[in-house]
Parts: sequence; structure tokens; C-alpha cells
Amino acid sequence: MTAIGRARTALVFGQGDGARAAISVVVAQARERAGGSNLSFCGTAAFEEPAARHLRETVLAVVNQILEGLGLAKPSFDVSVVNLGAASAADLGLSISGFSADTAVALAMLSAALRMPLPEDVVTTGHIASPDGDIRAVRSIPAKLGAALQVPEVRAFIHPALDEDNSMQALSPAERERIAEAVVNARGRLRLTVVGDVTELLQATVTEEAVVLASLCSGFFEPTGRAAPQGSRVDDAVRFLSEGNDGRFWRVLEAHLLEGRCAEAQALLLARCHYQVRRRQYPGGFGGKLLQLVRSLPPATRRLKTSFPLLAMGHCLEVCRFAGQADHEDVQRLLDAAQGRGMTREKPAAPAPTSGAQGAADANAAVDAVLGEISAQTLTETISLPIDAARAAYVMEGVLAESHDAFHDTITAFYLHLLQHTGAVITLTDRHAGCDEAFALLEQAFADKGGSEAAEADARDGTRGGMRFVLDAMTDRYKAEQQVKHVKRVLEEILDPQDWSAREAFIAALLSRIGPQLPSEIRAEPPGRYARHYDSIVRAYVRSVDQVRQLFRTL
Amino acid sequence: MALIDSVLAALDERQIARVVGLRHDEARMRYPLHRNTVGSYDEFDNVIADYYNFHFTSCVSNGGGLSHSEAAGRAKAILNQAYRRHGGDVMTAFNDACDGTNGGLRVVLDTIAEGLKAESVAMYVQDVFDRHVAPNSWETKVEIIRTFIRQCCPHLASSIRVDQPERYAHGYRDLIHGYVEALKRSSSMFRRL
Repeated sequence: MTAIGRARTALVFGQGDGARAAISVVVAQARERAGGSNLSFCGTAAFEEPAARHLRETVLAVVNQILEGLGLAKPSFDVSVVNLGAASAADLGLSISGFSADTAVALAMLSAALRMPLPEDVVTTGHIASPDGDIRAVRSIPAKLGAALQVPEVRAFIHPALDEDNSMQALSPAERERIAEAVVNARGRLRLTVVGDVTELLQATVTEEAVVLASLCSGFFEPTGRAAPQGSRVDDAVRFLSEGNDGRFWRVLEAHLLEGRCAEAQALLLARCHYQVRRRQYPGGFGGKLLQLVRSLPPATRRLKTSFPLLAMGHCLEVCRFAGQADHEDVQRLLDAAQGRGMTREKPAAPAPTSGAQGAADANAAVDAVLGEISAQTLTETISLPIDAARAAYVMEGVLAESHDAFHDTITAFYLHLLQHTGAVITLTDRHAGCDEAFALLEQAFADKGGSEAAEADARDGTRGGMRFVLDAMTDRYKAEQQVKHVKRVLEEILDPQDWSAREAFIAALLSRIGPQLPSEIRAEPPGRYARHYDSIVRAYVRSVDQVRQLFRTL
Repeated sequence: MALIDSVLAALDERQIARVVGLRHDEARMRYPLHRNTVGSYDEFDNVIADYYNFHFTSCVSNGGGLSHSEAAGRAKAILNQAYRRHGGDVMTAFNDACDGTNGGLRVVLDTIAEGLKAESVAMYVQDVFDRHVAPNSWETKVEIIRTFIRQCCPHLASSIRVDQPERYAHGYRDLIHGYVEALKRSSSMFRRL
């Protein structure tokens, strides 16, 4: 079985000020062959012997180590470079002598071996300077940038750090200035990325979708545990490709479904199905997650842009053959989600408690621990970021709700989407549970604006931005609620096991530390007043964190 | 007077929202953002330029895009203007996008969307005046502008309210600017981010 990988690079002719470059493509063909991996060259454009030897000894070694780390067989490669038009017209073949095509050759080989397509709008240049995948500077960057700018479809240029090891100090100041100027000039038109090793090269080049599809097709969806030595660059590359693929899978699937690319979503699901069948394993909880995702799509997107079945019944049944007794309910959810039926709503279970400082004898030490867990930064990182990211990813075609039912469905779907992105575990319950919670949130979000009826009026009228405004208000309210819950949970964990006097001491220490952020009426009360009922402190604190953040914004 | 009625109807907040605002809100809703933070200024530059181009081609140019640097430059101009209200500038937006505070990149893109919406509203109001006011005689123009200022009195800046309508009969650019600024302050069509 053979596979092809293609990567663009820039080839240079001449030297110094007279150097000219052109964009070409490195093509690698991977073939399974008994007797070990090797690298051969074909085509009219040829690598000169030192360059060919370097590719065999260093670049092939890097590629093979990555494949080995992923637990894949090492194929043989035929590498060629597409001859330039001017050379072809003169019946000549290019002769390639330098090392600057190393990154493109490595990418083309990996693309072929992993069946992982590379974006066509990217040009790379760089010398792979060690078998561990370090990438070092190459010459004629200005000419290469100039060539990339001449090709309209090229949008990104990946190059090595220009002075990773201070060796560029050998260049004259004029030359260094010329390079810097070329980089600045190209920045407006090209996305420039600096890479220092093969992991950064992969991160800058391959898309999440390409990695997840390749991992499903080639079988490295889950880490194999056969990684290269810890701490090596190649090990990082292996981990980049093999870890977190389940998360990538769901992110890519969600993006496809939200943006109405149903065929791509179906292809991804089919690839996952084939992968699970090959492994003879049912993915636990898969059906529930898929059902949740489908239900969290905006109703119009689900109705108009999603073609059911997402996965043919035959394929579903193939995977379900490997389900165990414990997966019985999940199998039903998988079938429902794939067929687009049984859109019953589920409510979130109580979120898992976070670890907190426990049993601190000294109230001040306990307050220190608590303040670390409820600081503005922690609240932003753990609570706000995922919620804002969830809102940012939620795309809808229109902002007007056409009917009461459409409004109702959108609110519920968006709420489920928020739950899904904040790691809430969803369990089966009656069909109105999620819906009731969604409307309770909406009611609170619009408490000072007329409640959920006013929200619906806004969504149907559109003057304030329609559903965009409504969903943003829900997001902000959900964020505030989650922050309050988080702070409350942290305080509960520290206070609940304490006796009355320890609680009082803790509250006194807490008030002395965060007092200035709280309203005067809270500060004026004795600490014992809040030893059992500290809700008002929590809410005032979360509000003040937000206000302080707004204040900092103006500085 | 039918003419002034049609001007006021065209400048009604809901009418402006329907004709101009909705398509901007829809464009914002259609743009998918897969990460709410950025790792570097270059990435920030790329995202805001890409979003500006997406929004611009969706509801301003209907197809014709801008170069990366043109789009990034315009996006930064909007951000500078918007963040200046809070005493910040484009670097404040970048810092928010870096660490995800104040809504992160999502709110930065919201700000660009609101800026583009405001520009479109200004163009629309200009067009309404050009169509309904410009072709008339001097006396009619003065009368229309007098009625307009009286009707929109609470929203307009006091400097405009005390001016003679004749001042705006020939050149109503300042009047339009004042009206759009008033809308930005008071209309629910614009978000105060």
C-alpha cells in the first residue's frame, strides 16, 4: 500500500544579493516494504550527494523515530522534488545542494507515512540539524520570502529562528538588517512562524483535523507507551501527535457540525467507527457524548444543515458488537444520536468537587490557601475561559428567533452546549430537565430586563442583536453563577469540617484580607455572623473581582 | 409633513437595526472561534485581521476582501477607538486576548463587530439625509432639520440642540455624526463593551 505526501518549500539559485528563489513541492511516497526502511530519490530534480546523505542519515532518522514512537511500521520512501517550470522548459533537471528543504522533506515523509494531509498554503524552509529534530537557520530567507509572496495561494511561511545559536553573528550587519527587513515586509501578507524543532514544525503545520483523521486511520489515536526517550524533541513530537486525540476528535466534530459541514462530520465519525472496530473495543460514553453534542446544536443548524443518519445503522451496529453490559444505555444513546431521534434533554450532575486546602489549623494559612483558589486569575482560568470559549465557538446562521418553539429549542441547545464545554457530566433524566434549567438561567440573566419574556421579545425583534444578545447575557450569567459555585465550594471544603470557633477565626482572617473588596455593610458585621451563612460574602467577592477587573482594564 | 415623517421613520432605531444592525449581528454570530486566547501578538494580529475580513466581506463589501495588513490596520483602529473610552488601547485588547480576561478574544471580536456596525449606521444615516433632505429647497431643508433636531432633542448633544438649523441645512455631516454618537450612547442597538 502506498501513500503520497506533499509539502511546499522554497528553492534558491545564486548567492548573496543575487540570490533568487522559487516555490516548489517535495513529494514523498511511502511504501510498505519488508527489510527495513530506506530513502531513495527519483524524478528529474535531484539532490546532490551530501544533501542526499544528510536526508538519509538525519531526516529519515527523525521520521523513523516518530513513527516508532507512534507504534507504526517504518515504510520506505521515494522522495522527489517537482521540477520548476523554467527548468522543464529548458529540458533541465534541478540540482539541490543545500539543507533548507529538510523540513519540507520531513513533513512530506510524515504526511505520506501517517496519511496526514498538509495544508497547501504553507511554505517551509529549515535545516534539520540533529537526529533529535533540532531545526536551524538556512540562508537566503529574504529571497525565499520574496518567492512566497509571489504565489497568491501561499499564506503562511515557516522558518527557523534566525539566531538560535548566535551563529548569525557571523553575518555582516547589512545582511542581518536585510533579513530583518524582509521579515517585517512579509509580515503583513504572510503568517510567519518561527520553529526551533520538529515538534514546533508539526504544531505550526498540521491542523487538528488532519491529526485526528490520521490517528484514526493509522492507529495512533491513543498513546502507545512506546515513545522515544523522555525529554527528547522527537518524544515531544510523538506526544503532540498521539496525546489528546479524543479531545481533538470532539472539538473537530463539533466545529464541523456547528458550521454545517455535515459530510466532513460523517467522514470523521465513520473513521472513528472503523478505528473502534479494528480495535474491537466500544468507546465508553461515546453515545452519550454524541447525543449531547447533537442536542446542543442550534435547532436551525440541526434541522437544516445536519443530515441524519450521521453514522449508518450498519456501522453503528458494528461498533455496538463490542459494547459490554455497562454500555447498554450508551449504545441506545449512540443509535439515537446517529439517527437524530430521541432528543431528550438531560441535566448535569453536581460538578466534581475540587481539591482544596483541608483541615488547616491556622486560619491565616487556610485563608492563604483559599485565596489562591479563588483569586481573579484562578477564576478566569478555571471558570471564565472555558465558558467564553464555548460561547465563541457557538455559531448560528441567523440572530432572529422565528417562533416561540425555535427560541425555546435554541435556549436549551445553547445551555447544553455550555454544560458540555464546562465538563458537566450529563446523565439521562426526563426530557424537560435541561430545558427547565436553561430557562431558569435565562430568567436570571434577564432578571433586571424583564425576564425570559423580554429575552424572547429581544430574540424575535433583533434591535439589540437578537439571539446574539440573549446568548451573551446567558453566558455572562452562567459565568457569574459558576464563579459563585466555585468560591462557595472552596469555602465549604475548608469550613464544613471546622467547629464554630475555628470557623469564626477563619472568617475573621478572610474578612481582614479581602475586606477592602467587600461592601461596608459586610465589613461592619461581626465575623460570627458569617460563620455559617457566608453566601453574601461569596457573592460580594465575585462581584468585586469582576469590578476590579473592569477597573484594571482602564489603567 | 410627509417628508419629515419619512426621514424620522427611516431613522427609527428599530428600522436602523433591521436594515443595518441585523446583518452585522448575524455576521458576528456566524464566525467560529475555536480558541478564546492567543499566544502571541502575531496570532492576535492574524485573528483580528481574519475576523475583520470575514465581517467586512459578509456585510460591507459583499465579497471583496482586504489585504491582511489593511484589515489588521482597520481592526486596530476600531479597537483603539473603543478601548480609549476605558483609558486603554489596542494593547489592552491584546492583553485581554492573551490571558482571557474580560471575555478574552470573544469580546475583542465583539468590539470590532460593534465598530463596523457603527460605521455602517453612519453610512445609512448619511444616505437617508442625502435621499430625503438634499434634493429639497433651502426652506424645506431648514424645516426638516429643525423638526429633526426637535424630535431627536433628548439624544443629541447640547451643542447641536442650541445651534440654528440653518447651520446644518447645507452640510449636515456634523449633525449626522452627533446623531450617530447619540445613538451609540443611548440606543440598545449598540453594546457598550
